[in-house]
Amino acid sequence: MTQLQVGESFAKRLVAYHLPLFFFVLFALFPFYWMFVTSIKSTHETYNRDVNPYVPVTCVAAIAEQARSLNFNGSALAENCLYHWRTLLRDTLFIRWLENTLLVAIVSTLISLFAGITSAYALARLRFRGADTFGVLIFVTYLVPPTLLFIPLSDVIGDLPFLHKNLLNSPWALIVAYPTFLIPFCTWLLTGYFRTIPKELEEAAMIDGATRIQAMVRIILPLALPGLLSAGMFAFTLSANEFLYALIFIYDAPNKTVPVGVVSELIKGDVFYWGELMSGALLGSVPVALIYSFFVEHYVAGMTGAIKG
Amino acid sequence: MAKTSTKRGITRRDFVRMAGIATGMAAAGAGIEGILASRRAPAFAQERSLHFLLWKNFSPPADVEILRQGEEWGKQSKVNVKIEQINANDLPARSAAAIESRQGPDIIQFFHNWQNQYADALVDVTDICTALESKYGGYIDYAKTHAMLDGRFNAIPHTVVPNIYVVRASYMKAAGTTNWPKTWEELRREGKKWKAKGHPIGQTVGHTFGDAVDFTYPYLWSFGVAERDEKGRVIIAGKQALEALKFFKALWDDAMDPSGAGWDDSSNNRAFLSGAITATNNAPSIYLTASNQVILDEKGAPLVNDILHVPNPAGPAGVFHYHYSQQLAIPKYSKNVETAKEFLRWLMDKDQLTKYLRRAQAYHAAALKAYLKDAMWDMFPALKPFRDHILEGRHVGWKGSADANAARVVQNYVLIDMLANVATGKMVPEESLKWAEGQLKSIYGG
Repeated sequence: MTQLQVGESFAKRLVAYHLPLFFFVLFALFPFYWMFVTSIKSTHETYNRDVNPYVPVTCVAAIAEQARSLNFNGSALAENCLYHWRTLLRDTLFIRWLENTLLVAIVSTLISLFAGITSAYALARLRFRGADTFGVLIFVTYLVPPTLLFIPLSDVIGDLPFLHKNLLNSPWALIVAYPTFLIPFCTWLLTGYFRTIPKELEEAAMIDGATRIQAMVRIILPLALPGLLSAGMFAFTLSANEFLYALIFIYDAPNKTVPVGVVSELIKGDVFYWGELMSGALLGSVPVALIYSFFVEHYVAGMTGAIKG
Repeated sequence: MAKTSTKRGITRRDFVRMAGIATGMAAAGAGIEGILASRRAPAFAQERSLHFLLWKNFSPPADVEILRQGEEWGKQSKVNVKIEQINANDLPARSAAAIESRQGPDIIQFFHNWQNQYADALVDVTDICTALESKYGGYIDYAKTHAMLDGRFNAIPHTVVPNIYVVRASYMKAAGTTNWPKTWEELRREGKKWKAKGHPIGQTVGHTFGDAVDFTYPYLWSFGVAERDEKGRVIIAGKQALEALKFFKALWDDAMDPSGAGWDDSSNNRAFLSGAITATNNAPSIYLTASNQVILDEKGAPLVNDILHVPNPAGPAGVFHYHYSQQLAIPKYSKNVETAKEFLRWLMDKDQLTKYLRRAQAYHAAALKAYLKDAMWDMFPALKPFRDHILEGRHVGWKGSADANAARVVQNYVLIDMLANVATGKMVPEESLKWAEGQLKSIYGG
């Protein structure tokens, strides 16, 4: 995009900067708007092709009526606008699914980051025979689709003991399973990032008496923070959205994660509970959106490799 | 004041009580030695449990009933019954994982003849099935064929989901069609008019368990196409198949909704209910949803009053239907085989099955022929055409057997892809037929 200077005309700024930005924001936020609007519409309104699909007519009318009469009625608003939200939060186990999702995503991300950092560091810094081949093999592991792996993995998970039973039907089954694709991903991402950090920084620390571990922890990791955040956010998103393993390894509704719980409890044959589905989708995407918004600068730096030699 | 023990130690009453307890324990089993020798807790101390995996029904009241029945039997039999329901398209992955890892549900629901892929891993339930047959006068032929392999039942035929055409009468009339087309050629001609009016025929040729199979198989049969002969040899490549594919391309382009290539089993229901299409091959779920949710048409009248149920059009070889069957199987890994059999006997009993079918609002029929005469069909007269064509079905893999390979052909969507390749323009009919023949030969051999 053209670099704009102070004093440039409003028209030029509008065309070169504000309009493209406006359309980009519209494009990026439209799915969220659609989810929100559908979640506050009545079921009849959702299926009615004769009303404007972008406006929640019943809800807007209820708000306008109360504003006009200056008579606030919470239960009427809840009935007209928040019916699906109430159903989702009161009549399903959505909060429990959200807790399970966060537990699984956070723990498996931490495990994967730890393993990814150590293996990526070794691949990037330690000179040993076959390091490059090993790095490629790790990445190839990431490319093996879960549809090929879920049957042997369910065999393995079923043989792992857990509280006098086995891991199946517990969120811990997912915490064990997800690093199988998260660790290769984190390792691949971080290996590339570590290679962008000049070796001299580390060597200087080691000349000053630091051990390799100390050099890694005190010099490399702080510099690699954008890369770590990128890998962490990707790992968190991948595990929070995962469907197949969560479907195969978890049986009981209270142990399910959001992607499986929402689909299995809110789609009944050809009956789609669109309002509740959209409320669930919106609520489920909030943690990920928050994390991205807080760390977006580090994330971008991590993806582009900010450390220059 | 509390009673205290006497200084004599054991009273005569204490002795009698202790002797009674000891005698009871000895009578109940092999005694302490027996318990220790068996290295497991005595049976009466264990909680019996049962895990039943099945689909989320397209008729939601049926789910309420099956959960109620599970709870009722659980209470009376003192068994902790867990009923897990998932979407039908996810059942193959769950059942494959459970059977391969030898862990999971005690009872699994299978569609078509899917369970024949795991015949060796399933409990022989011939005893239950033959008892039911002699009591209720036999199964619907293809439901029985789907549940059997090598002369034994590896699953209990439970229900059959019938599929015929569901039609918007007013859309048909508005385009000038007075009667439902009797042949595919007529359907193409009339469907062209419907499409021109903005309401085409809706048909999936996507990877989905029900509607895609329910349309493709009888469509091909009606042109005289069979995937293999009685001896199991692949015979699909022939002029009938080529004619069927060429005609399908014309039917698709002239009369069908092109987005159907990516539809799942619920997409055509939604399209129909929202007024996007005139006709679709489907089970009774469209009618039931329109009725239960009181969906209105464009004029504000109940949509159910505008719905017709009519048979498939005829091809050169006649009229054919495919109604997919549902079976209940017990994997051999189950630690509760006898409990599962006990539950399934109870579930298939007339009282339970009748309640289940009626609560499902005639969405499916029982796999046992006797139920076709049940008063349920009088309670849902609009759905009687489904019953009237239910015996016209065939099994997958026809003219051959419904063996494991026939199930693989269904699960790999070979015949559906053969149509989809042509519909979407990915291949010309000759190419697609050759491709399908190759796929079938790699599955069936030869």
